[in-house]
Amino acid sequence: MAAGAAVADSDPAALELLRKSERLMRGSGTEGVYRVRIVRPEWERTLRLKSIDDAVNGRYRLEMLQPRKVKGTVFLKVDNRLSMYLPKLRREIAISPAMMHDPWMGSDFNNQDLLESSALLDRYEHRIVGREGEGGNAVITIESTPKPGSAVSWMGLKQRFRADGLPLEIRYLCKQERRERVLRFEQPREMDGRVIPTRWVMQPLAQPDRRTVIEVEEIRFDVQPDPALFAVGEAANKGRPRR
Amino acid sequence: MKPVIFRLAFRNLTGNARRTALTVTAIAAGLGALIFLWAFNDGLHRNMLDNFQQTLIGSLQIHRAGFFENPKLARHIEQREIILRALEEAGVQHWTQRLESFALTASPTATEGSFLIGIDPRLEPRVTRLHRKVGSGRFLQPDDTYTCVLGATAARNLGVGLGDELVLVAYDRFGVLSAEGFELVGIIASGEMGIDRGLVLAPLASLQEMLEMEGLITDIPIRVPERELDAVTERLQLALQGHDLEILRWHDMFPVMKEWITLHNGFLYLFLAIVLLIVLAGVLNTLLLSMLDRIREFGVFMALGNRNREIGLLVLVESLLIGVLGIALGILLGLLLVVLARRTGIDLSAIAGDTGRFYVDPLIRPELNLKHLATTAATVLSATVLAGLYPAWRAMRLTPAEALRHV
Repeated sequence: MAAGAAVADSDPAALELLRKSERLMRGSGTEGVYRVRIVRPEWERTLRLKSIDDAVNGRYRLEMLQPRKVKGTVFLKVDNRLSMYLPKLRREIAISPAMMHDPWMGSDFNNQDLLESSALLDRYEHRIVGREGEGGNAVITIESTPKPGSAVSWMGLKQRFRADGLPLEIRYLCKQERRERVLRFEQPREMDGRVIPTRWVMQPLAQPDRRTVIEVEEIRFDVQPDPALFAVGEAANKGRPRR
Repeated sequence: MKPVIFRLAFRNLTGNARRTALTVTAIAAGLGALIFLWAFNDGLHRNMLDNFQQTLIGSLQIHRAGFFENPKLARHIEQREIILRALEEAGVQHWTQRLESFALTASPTATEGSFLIGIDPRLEPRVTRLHRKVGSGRFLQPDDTYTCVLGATAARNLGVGLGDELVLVAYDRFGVLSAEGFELVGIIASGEMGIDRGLVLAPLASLQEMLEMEGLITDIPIRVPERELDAVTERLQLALQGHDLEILRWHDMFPVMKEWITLHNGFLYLFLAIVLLIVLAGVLNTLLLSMLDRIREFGVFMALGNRNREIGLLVLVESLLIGVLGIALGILLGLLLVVLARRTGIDLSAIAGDTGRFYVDPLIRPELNLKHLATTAATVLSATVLAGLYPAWRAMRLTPAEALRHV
């Protein structure tokens, strides 16, 4: 599957907008603190986490800060592999392909979402299918379908952006309708010099009484993450007296 | 019917005591053997059911509606106090509480999927005999924290021994993957695959903490005697109506065992039919011979003015009397066998080897089931009367002249 040929199938304007949005939301390195509120009919709870996104090297690190029981749990994506470090056991567990569609931390995101956030751009063909309004405030709709032969989780995506790249909404389409969901980007605000959505709501379409709300508490763009944080076994060694 | 027929029949039977005794003994032996077989069978089933229920599941379980079909921690029991009150009112004394889930059990060298049960070490022995199945080490104790008991096969597959740490990985109530270390304190060798292989027992309190289920349970297993099972179930169902709970008897959850028993009883009915056929043939033989022996006698009867119908009736009454006598003796014989076998028990281990997998103890104590006894006795009696029909018919067709000339 030659990347060049596949890209040619996408609408260049659509790709340009997607890349613009990607550049807006992620710097070369991004560090942030997020609050994740999970709403269920039976309960509701809030987690806090620190994320370090090393976009240049394709690495990603999530560290749970709250609640106490999960504090210190680290999710690490290195070389397209996802692992989980459990501080109480001082052990790293590989998240196997079988667990990819399990919910991440009981939320409406799944482990696959952690892994493929940036792969959406490469694995789908993108076309602009709608445009409302003019200039910087125009709203553009892009439809994305899987490239032939690429392994993807969704039958299609329907994304809406502002012309300047600010994401508004991603709709995840699936053959099984009960799995369909929509991610809405809300409350755009300036943070660390950029206007970004500061509240992201993941809503399963078949279950209106469940949702996951992510709020950005702090964010810093274009930082240089410490490579040691991603070293294999680093997470496991942290806090453990070296023998 | 003239009473004289009974007197006559009686005299005929006593007059040829040897022949009568032979027939009666044949019936009695057949019936006695059947009663004993039924009692053995019923004793075996009682033993199986007790063992099956007391191995793990109890006679009855209460969960949140839908939990048995689709166990999720979110479907935990919310009305524990109401249930406990209902249990008290229904006269249930033997109950326990559990938290059930699934886990990945990991040792340093291997991983196995397991059924994870958090048990209350104080209450559990009231319902099951799990605590007696521990082969090495010990069972969970009330003050234990983060200990576990594992089946022998699982322990071997995981390559762990007593005192080793196992890591259990499971989703908690909020759907978060959580993991904890548990010290292996006991190994169960029950001989039963489901338990030796796929089961991990841990203290209820530790699992509640690990799975974010503080103070919460998913099921209440109950033990009641089999004959009270349906009544207790009904009382509980009535008392707990509208609380979104399911009250399941052992055979609602695991119908296989009940079906097996029905099948096994079916075999015994087949056996009963074969024994009946033999009894029928034996009795028919004797009655027919005795009838043929007495053709001249019947001729005299008829010459004296008795009707053919009365001759036939006489033969039938004779077979009825033989049947009643045989059954009385047969019941006595059967009871004697059952009482004797009950006292010593029947040791199967010599012929059957290890039967633990089928929940059967090596020593079976027969148990009398009055329903089975009544059915068997009634069937044998009807068979005897049935056997009398043909000789009676033959006797009826005699004519006085022919009969008198018969040699």
